[in-house]
Amino acid sequence: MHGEFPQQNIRTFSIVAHIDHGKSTLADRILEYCHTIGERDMRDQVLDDMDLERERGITIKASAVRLQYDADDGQTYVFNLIDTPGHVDFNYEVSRALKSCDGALLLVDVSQGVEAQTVANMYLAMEADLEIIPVVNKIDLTQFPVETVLEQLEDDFGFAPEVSVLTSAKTGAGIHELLEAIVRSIPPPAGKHDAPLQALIFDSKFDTHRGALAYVRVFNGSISADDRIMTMSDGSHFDVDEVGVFSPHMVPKDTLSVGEVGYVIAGMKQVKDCRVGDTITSARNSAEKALSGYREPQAMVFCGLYPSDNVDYGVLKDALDKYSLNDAAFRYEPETSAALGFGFRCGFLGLLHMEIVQERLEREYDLDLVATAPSVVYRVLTNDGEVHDIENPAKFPDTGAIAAIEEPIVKADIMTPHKYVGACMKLSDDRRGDFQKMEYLHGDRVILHYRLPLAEIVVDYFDALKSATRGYATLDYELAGFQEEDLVKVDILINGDTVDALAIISYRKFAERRGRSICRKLKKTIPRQMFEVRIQAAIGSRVVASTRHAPLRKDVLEKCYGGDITRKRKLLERQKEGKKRMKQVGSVEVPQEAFMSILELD
Amino acid sequence: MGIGLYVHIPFCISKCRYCDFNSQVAAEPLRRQYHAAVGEQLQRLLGGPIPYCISTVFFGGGTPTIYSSADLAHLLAIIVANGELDTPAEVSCEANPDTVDVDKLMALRAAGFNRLSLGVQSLDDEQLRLLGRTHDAGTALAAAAAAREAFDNLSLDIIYGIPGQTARSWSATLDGIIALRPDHISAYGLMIEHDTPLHMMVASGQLQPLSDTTYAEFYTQAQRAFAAAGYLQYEISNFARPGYECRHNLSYWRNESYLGCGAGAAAYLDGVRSINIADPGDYCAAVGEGRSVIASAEQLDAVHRAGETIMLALRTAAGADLIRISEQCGMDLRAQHADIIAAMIAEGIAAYDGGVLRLTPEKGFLLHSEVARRFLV
Repeated sequence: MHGEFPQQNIRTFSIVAHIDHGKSTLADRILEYCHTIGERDMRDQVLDDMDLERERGITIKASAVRLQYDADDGQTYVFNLIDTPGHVDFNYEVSRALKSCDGALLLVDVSQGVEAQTVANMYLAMEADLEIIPVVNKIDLTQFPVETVLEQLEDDFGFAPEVSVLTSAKTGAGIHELLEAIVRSIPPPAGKHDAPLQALIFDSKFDTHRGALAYVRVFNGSISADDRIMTMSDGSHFDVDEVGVFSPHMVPKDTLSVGEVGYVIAGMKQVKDCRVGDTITSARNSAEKALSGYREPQAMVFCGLYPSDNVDYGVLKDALDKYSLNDAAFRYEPETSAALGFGFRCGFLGLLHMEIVQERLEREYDLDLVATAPSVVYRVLTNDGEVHDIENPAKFPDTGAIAAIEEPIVKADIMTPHKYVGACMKLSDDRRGDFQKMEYLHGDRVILHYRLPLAEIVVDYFDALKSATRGYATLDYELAGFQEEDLVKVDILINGDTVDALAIISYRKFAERRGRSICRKLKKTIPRQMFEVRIQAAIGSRVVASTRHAPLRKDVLEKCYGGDITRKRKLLERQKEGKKRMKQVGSVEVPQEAFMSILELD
Repeated sequence: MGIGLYVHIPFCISKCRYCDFNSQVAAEPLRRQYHAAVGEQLQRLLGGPIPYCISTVFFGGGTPTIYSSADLAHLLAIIVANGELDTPAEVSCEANPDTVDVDKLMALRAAGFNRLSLGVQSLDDEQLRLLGRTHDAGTALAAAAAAREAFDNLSLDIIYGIPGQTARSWSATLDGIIALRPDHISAYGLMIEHDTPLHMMVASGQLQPLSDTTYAEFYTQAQRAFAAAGYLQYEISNFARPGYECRHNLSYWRNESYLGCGAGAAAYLDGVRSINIADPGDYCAAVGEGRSVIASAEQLDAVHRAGETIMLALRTAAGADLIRISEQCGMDLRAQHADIIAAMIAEGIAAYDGGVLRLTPEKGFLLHSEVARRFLV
């Protein structure tokens, strides 16, 4: 026995579930049964710790909590409960969190049954080789027969009815049985105490006072305060200040031994120093190799973020500096736009990540932001033989100077029930997908392997895929290099002036259609003004689509006498306030949504 | 130079369907009580150690002529006794056709009122009914003829943009109004205000509001008819024979100070805008108990004052003197808005001359809100 507890008394698991099936409530109930947290400090849903996550119902940052459970066999067990996010933008983070577990609770709501996301998450858990305990929850809803769900679990996944645990997180029924099942079924961590240290970073967080905090699972060896450690992806050395566990608040410990889950603070100044998926080892007695599966955090989509009001540039810069400390996948650099002024080009994992960052910046720093339509990075070869990686369509060289354009390609794996194969293939073909092969899995599931242009999937491919398969498909993708393609820049002109922030890059064959669609979208989002507004799409000097807004004919308040003056001024001021989120482009007022709206497909 | 005095009479025979002003149908006792309260407040307001020099008086409503000529004469007498009236002062009274006859109008004239503003609104019986007016076109014509006889300075109010109105019926109203030879005409576009019966009729689909284009066409039609008849347009909705512009209202648009008396009346003094208690009963109670009748007040800073000055001045044909207003608020408005001013000139929405920005009657006036918003903070 090397830690406070024998290695065989540790159980590490996460809960996988469809959204709203009661994951957080079950977590709370487990916490309560293990007496780690008094009801007094208990906020609902302990594991989700940001308002934004609550509102969106998504867990953005994985979180881990350590509990103690006195089992019926008279022994005390340590439970590590690891929480996971649930969106394709964060697939990699989910895979690292699951890799840190030995088991998973597959939670199914008795009133809903097995749903698409249940299947998708189950698949992720199986991929991570986890021991799975099916849990049928909300059995207090007696109008729904448990048998139906048990049959589904048997049909879909082959679970015998008797292995499922029946619970009501609401009343507490079945929780004790569940905890016993965890002790019984989930294997204790493997790994050797005397082997060189290998700890997997499965999440990281930034603390204003203490710097970056790594969430780790120790796979081999141990880690203590004052150890000198090395992150294996880049060989950086750090001195450990503190190690500890979340119970659920941070509790320092002398050592984290093999199989334990906790945190490491080691003078890492920002989360970029402790990358998710990286392996921590000892600087003196290094492991031979890192744990498998590490990926460099990679920005997939880029957009410009500008303050609505130019005077807020400094506030935005400050906000980005602070925010990036806590988000290793996020990057930014200053850029300027003729239409939008001074701002930043920012890189994100995907569109959801982009929305979340924008929302957090606006909320936490009281900013009002304009986001331009997201773009991928293009590799442009110019006639002089130079290669440029360009993240902003506005920065494309003149057509005459371009020798070739390459765009990023991804390898995408789509898992879907067999009956949706046709829909998935149609969708992927429409998005210029290159079908590679189809693989049959057990049951009626197949995996479609595609090569797809990243630009075609970053925007709404995932959503389209979900709706084409009634939610049953899952998507995973990774970058697979660049590929030359016939691409053109589509410029948007408002009253004859090119608006740099509205430019997009398009596959040439789609360009005219995109141009027309953008003109329509802009006409819808830009309100009528006192001048005629002409909106045009052009490829080079050729206008491919055009639309116009007739000028506003009438906008006047009748009767303005003594008693009306204050009221009317205030009314106009309020209306003006409503227009604050507009950007003045020439003499035309363009609302914020216009910049994003050009992406929506018809 | 003197100050304007506004006196509000918040009562009507019945409430029109489009009306969202401070007016109500009230029983005789409240009307009596209110008459006394207004007299009392006038005395207090004007009876200070240094009398105000008053250059314009305006009795508005509601329907001031719901009171007898003697009642109105009584209130005017209080004003004359306690303030110093300019010579000549402009003393206006609003009236509705079914509350006046030639004798009453003569009596008002004799009491010292020298300008009458009569609410004709339309000469189409169907439209008058739709608006919820209690008079028909015949009554309005008779009242206007009587008023013409009694007053040297007569103004008529009309409304356009009424659902169902056609170019032809509007033209008939315009011709009928011009034939009455008023000195001044106010032509208001109908606004369908929230919480009015008309709004409910539109919301329920019972009435179809006119399009902005039709509205604009009617506006142009009125401008042409009045110009041809020798009236000059001096504000978005106001036309006058030369020399007959309403001095009282012009002082509002010049953002000058004024006094307000009566329920819901506004005042603007020393950079402070205040509004009296709106409910007539509450107002009477406050006067009776010797309390302040002011319900709310706002001290404007230089920037907001400049915004109001521009907003108001742009309503007039005289326009906004940006150089003078810039000096007052310490901002260079001309430089700040150079782009939009240039674009408006190019589009014929505004003219700019000698530092003065004017909206054009053809295109600019109807876009007043859109332009004013750009200049507000």
